[in-house]
Amino acid sequence: MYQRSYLSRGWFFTFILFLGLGIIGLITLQLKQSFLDNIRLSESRSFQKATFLIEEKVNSYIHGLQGMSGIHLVNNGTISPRLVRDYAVYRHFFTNFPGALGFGFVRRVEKKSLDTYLANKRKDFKTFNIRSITQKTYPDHFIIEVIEPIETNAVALGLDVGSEIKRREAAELSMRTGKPALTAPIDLVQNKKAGKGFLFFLPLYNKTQTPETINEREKSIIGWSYTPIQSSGLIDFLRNSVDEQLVLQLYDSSGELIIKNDQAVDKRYRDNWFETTISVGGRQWLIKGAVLKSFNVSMINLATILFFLFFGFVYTWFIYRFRKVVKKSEESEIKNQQMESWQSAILNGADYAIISTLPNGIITTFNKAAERMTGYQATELIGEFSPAIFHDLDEVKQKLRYLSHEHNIELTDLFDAFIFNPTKDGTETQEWTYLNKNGSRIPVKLCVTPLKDASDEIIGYLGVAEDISQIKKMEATIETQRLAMISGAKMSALGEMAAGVAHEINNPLAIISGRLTVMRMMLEDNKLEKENIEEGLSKINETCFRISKIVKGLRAFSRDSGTDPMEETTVGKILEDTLELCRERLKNHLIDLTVEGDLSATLNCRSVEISQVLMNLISNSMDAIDHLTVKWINIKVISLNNKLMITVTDSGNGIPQEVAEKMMDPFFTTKQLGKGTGLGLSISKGIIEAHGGRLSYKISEGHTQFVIEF
Amino acid sequence: MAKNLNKVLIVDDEQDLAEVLSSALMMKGLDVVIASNGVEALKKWDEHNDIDLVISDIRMPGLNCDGITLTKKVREKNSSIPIILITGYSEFTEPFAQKMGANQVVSKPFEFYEILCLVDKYLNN
Repeated sequence: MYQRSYLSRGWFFTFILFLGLGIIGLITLQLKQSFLDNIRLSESRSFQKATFLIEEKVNSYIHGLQGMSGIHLVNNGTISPRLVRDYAVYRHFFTNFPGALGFGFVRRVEKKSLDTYLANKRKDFKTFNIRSITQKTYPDHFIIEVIEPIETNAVALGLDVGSEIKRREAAELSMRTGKPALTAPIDLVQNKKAGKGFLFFLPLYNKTQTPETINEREKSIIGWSYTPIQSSGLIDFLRNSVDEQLVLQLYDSSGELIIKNDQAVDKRYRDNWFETTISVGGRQWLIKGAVLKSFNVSMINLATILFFLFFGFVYTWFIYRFRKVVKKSEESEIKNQQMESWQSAILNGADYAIISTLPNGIITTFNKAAERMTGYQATELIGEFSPAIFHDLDEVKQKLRYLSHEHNIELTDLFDAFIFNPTKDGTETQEWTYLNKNGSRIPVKLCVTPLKDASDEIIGYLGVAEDISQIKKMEATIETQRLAMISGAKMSALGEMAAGVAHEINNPLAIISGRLTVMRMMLEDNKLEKENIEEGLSKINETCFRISKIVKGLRAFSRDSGTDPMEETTVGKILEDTLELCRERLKNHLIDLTVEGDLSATLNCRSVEISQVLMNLISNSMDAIDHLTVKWINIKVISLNNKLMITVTDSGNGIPQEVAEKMMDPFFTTKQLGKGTGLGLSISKGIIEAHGGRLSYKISEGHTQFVIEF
Repeated sequence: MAKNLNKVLIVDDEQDLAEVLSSALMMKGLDVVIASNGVEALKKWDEHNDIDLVISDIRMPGLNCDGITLTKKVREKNSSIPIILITGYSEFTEPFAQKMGANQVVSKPFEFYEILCLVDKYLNN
């Protein structure tokens, strides 16, 4: 049991260890995941922010272009370079529109009107010339009429953007939709080596409102406000505005890369790319974004894992240590448990009620036997009541009165009845009666002891009670049997006496009968004188008295004496009554009986019982010495210092050892079958002991002697 | 009736009883000799030598000389003399007494007339 428990606990610890490591692993993974999720979330936010910035920035070009259109309107369809230049300054052009190389105006000129347009234009600007980007010819031209600042954009002035398909498509789209339109990525003429760029067109009609239909728009189109945008400028802007860890790539809907903000090697990028599409200027831009594999992120991850591994080791070590500690404490715990269960088993296994209380009487311990005897459950009483609750209150109050009287103090607390003497003397054993809940009365022998702590202070009381109802019952049974035996032995003794008693009565009867006969004969002979009559009558009277005395003694002897009250009687009287019943037998057996000593000594007793004992001893003596030549019995009464001693000595020479040892036992007899019951001495002993005395046998001066001492 | 007066020996330790029995017998005109025990009775027997009838108690104090012993001794001296024994004890039955040599056993308590009749009977025979 003991070993198996250890084994299972060993497995338990191993299980706990691996469980712990498993949990740590899981936590680490979970944390890592959560960490990554967080990173991903912040990356995602960063990307969204960048996306938003791009979209916003592109839209700001539209606002810029719309402003340009406004200039055109207020200037009655003409756009002078000076105004555009002023406008650009006014709008803080290069700051607010990063990547934009300038603002300009593109005019639509039909092929047939080209010469007229050119002639008019050359009035103000003699060197104005039109250049095509490709050789391809279209029915109209989209000529860059104004572009500011001209210093950096001179190469674009006079360019027919309608001669190149990408630029034309965007311009026509803008014209038809009435909305801003972007070109696909193109190589700008201003700086071909600076990477891709694009043009942004906003249509201008010869009407205040944008015409309703495409057809009307095509007819009323004047030209476009436009801005060339260098993608590298956007990149610079993005570099400054978005997370530097963020890698962005913009693709045109044609699939062509517009910009990317970092040239770093691909392996440094994260694997997870974000993607989103925005709609700008009639084109769909795909924005791809990723965050650089951050050194910090890996460091944090590594640190986390190392931390948890370290924690795991520490945990394991603690578990291991703890197991050792637990093993030790477990041993003592097992010992404690064993001790506790022992104590509990002893407490509840005992057939004695074991009850402990606080000094004020409140019950603290109440074992099973106590529950059985009182009918109360421990839980009903503990912490609530004093033991007085299940005691016969009359007894308790009586004890309290006795103690109050004895010690001349006023005791009112019922609990004092139990603890007054123990507190004073250490312990007290007394018989009490428990009143069981079921109404029965349980006689108990209760031993109360004070419980003391190390400093000898009383911290409570311990009561141990034995159920003595069986003992009481047995005592009652024994008493009944004793009385029955006494009665039986008495009857037996009476039977033995009957012959002697008959003899005692026979003679007086014969005497009376004889006297009467003689007197009648005298009467018949006429010789009966007065003096004869007087003499005869007095003899008859005397003899009758003799008979009545015998009868009285016999009646007293045969009566049930067990319940007689104890009375003060002189030993002389007891002896007289006894000897009256055996005088005849003594005479017949030629036994000389002598009585001496203090016959006036008194004894508080049931005289009939004492008489019976004496009769028994005399009878035994008579039987014992009948065969001897010298036959005498001597009864001596000695009263000394409150002690009374009656000795019955006979001429016998003592009783054989083996007989003497057993003769006081019930039913032991040496007499022939039918001659004796064997109860005489044992009952005599019982009677004397019931009177608080002692019956013993000894040899006095070589003779058999029985001694009754009170 | 060779002699004028028949002589009866009464043996009993109970003096009152012996006296009253003797009074009654004397009233009938008999001569009476009283002894209180067997030893004394044998002594009286020898003194008088003319005893016609013995009435004796069986249980009497005295060394080895109760009624039974007395009967045996008397019978040794005179084989025909009537002997009446008186007893209070039931163990002394008629056949036992006769075996011992007594003529009659009377159990106590007895009617006094019974004794007187028996005395008449044995003396007249």
